[in-house]
Amino acid sequence: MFVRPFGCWAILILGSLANPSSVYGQVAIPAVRLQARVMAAPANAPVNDRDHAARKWVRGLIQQDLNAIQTACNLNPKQAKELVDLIEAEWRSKFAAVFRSYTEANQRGGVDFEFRVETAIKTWLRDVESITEEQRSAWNYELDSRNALRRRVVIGKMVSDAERKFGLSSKQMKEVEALLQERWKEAWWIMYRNGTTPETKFAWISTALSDAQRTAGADPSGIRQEYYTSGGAVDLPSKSLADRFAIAGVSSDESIPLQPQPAAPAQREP
Amino acid sequence: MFTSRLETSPLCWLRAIAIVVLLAAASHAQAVLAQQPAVQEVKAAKALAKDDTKKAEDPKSDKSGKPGEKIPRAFDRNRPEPEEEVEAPKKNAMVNFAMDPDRWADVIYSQLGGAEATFEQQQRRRVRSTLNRIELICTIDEQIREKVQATAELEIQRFKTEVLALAAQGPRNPTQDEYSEFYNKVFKLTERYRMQNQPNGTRKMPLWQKVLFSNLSEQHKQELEKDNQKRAEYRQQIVRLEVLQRVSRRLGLSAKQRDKLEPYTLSNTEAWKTLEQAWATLQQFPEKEKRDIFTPEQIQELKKPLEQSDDLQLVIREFGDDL
Repeated sequence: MFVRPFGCWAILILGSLANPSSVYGQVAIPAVRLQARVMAAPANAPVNDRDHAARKWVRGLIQQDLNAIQTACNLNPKQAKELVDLIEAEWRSKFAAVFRSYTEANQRGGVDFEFRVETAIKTWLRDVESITEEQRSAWNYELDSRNALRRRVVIGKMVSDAERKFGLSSKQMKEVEALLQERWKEAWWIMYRNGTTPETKFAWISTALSDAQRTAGADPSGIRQEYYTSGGAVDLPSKSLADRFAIAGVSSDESIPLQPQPAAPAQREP
Repeated sequence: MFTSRLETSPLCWLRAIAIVVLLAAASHAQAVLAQQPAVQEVKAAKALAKDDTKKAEDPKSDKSGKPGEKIPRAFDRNRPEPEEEVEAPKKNAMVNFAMDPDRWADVIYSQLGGAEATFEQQQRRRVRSTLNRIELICTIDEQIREKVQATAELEIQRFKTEVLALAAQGPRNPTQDEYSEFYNKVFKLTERYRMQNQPNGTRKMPLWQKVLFSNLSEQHKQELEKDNQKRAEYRQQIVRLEVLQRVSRRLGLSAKQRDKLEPYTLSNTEAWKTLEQAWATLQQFPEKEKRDIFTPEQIQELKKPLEQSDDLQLVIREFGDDL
């Protein structure tokens, strides 16, 4: 009487040794399989399409900045080799958080690839001792020029908004632009890049308004339409994970392992 | 003595019996009278309770009819009129989509970005803002100001009446075709106010603006037009700069290269409204100009198509404005 149930349990336990997933039930199976796949995959390999796209964009941006560095700083072959080797060895660890946040972000915004790449390249340029101060300052000038353009764009958008909200004249627009330039914050660019034009506060520009405009206040409706659409052209360059970084015809050392590409198109996570 | 008289006169006996009988009948009658109101009260209460339950069961029951004499509805001349004949929805009517004039009015105002109150508020603000802006360039008399505002108010009221009239014509249980047909009417009605948001060439000027313009001198009109152009140019310039910035990011342009490219954005403004348009334009640049501006790597990059992403992207429609 007692032998039979014990026999069933024994068969179950023995069966589970042969196929452990059968014990955990249906819910546990995918997790076990996923774990096995991740373990089997090479270290730091892209986990899905979004991760893969993020890595390609970051590589593309780095490669373009390397080209721009060569144009602005004119590196010699030794400097170029040192820099490109350093970047090839370090790029994954520097941008792990960027890839992760882009992979996790299901909605717009949240990841500013460009700003992160610029910051990292600044650090790398500092780390390569053979690069001179002059060359670094030439690169800093380039970055300042980029930031100036971004500032013009964001403040211009804010002025255009203020024009609609407060009914500004062209003269007032110039005055408001000057007032906003004084208040510039780097965060405004990040905000704009993520799809939101920073709000122009009444208090910031009230000195440029007439009495009637001050009394009327802001028109919240505005004559502008904003909406979100799914998909569109991306302004980020892309570089394959299988291609080495290069600057001035010098590629990264063959001894530095490249990141393996995903073997098959990865399934997007739900 | 008494007994002797009774014994002596049989008539007395009869009288005595009659008196006793009368007394007994009187007392019985009094008792019956005393009991009768209580019985009537109970009967009346029962009847009331019956009526109440009947009314509750059938609120439209015939008031004059007695329970036993109910007239069939078909033959009842005094039957109450039905409140409203509700048209039965058509077989192909949209499911769960019953409309009434109020709902249609909401649909109409939603075309203009909100409810009725929002529409009114927007129009009034629009007038005020325009007047405030013009006053920075030329003086406007209080009289003209009031005239313009009164005209705008009249236009608002007229539009509201038109909305009500159209909403009343709206189908109750529309089929898909009926809905589309009516929606076209809504679209046409709201066109006037939607077109205010469109660039200057395509829109129709509202009456209050005509009144305002007719009261301005030629010099003031020219000054206003000049200011309007400057403001529009500022907005367009910012759009072009944004596209240039995106192209710069895509190709990794240096400051010098951007400076070289910027004049091209002015020569063909239409091509620099979106990244896609600008990219296509750059791809079609003559080879010589490409070599003047871009590095060989950038020229190679320019041959590639733009990558597409399924991320949500912000789209901003820039409109012209009044005056």
